[in-house]
Amino acid sequence: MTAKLLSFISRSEPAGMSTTSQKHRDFVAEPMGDKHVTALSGIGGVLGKKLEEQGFDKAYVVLGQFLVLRKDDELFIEWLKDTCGANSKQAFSCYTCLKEWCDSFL
Amino acid sequence: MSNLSSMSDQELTSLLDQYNIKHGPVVGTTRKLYEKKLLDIMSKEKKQGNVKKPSSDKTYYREEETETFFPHPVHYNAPVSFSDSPALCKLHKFSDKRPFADSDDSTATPKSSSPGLFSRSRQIYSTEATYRNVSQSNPSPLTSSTASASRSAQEKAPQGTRYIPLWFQFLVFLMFAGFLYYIFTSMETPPKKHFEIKN
Repeated sequence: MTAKLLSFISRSEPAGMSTTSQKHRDFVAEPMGDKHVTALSGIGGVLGKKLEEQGFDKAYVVLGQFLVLRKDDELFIEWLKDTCGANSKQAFSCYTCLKEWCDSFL
Repeated sequence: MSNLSSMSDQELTSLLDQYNIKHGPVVGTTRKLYEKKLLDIMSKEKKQGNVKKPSSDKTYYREEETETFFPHPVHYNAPVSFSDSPALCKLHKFSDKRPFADSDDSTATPKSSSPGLFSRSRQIYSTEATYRNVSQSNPSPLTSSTASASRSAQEKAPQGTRYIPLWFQFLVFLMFAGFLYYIFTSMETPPKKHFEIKN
């Protein structure tokens, strides 16, 4: 009961669940197949367009880049920021999304 | 070395290893990122080579930190530095790090040189030693707190690290003391009646 009260006070999800968005949960739930890059968590319309211009039109291409960077968080986040101008939050969100997908399906 | 973009992938890889940068394979899409990283590190190196002041500043700060950490030498004078008891051996090691404190010891009490004087002074300081032994059972937190208190009482300069200002602490203390005194005075009259009832 106190846990529920505390969670209500802190206005976050109950203990044990990370604060992930619906987009994240949708992406991580199934193989990505041919999903567009905007299906990635943290990548919206603007960032998606910029990535497309660079040649990263599908989510699996970004996955490829993620894997080539050895799934390293610092490298991937830096790369994403440089490529499409994402901020730290968006880049980190994309990183965790891909990382979790890899943990489940790779 | 000057133009990274003209280098081959292998050369970039070896450079990345040289600088101990975490990296994956140098591919078409990753090349730009690694070139940027190498440029950053190389420019940082140049800056570090020109200006070496920050490191020396750090060491200076560390010396200051050691000054503030250790207690005022006047109080912990003789018994700390010389004693055979194992309890104070720790303090002896503790005092090893304080060269200026030991120098103060030598000027304040010249007993350190001869063992004969030491045995006599040991008797004199034995009671004080036991007292200080008890008080110094917890050297680090006690001394740091007393050091901070003594230094703050004397200087009042380093108030940046305080969360509650010192004058406020004193005020609260005085108010609490006054409150207790008030309770004490208000309780003076009842005991007389209490004794009368008992008798």
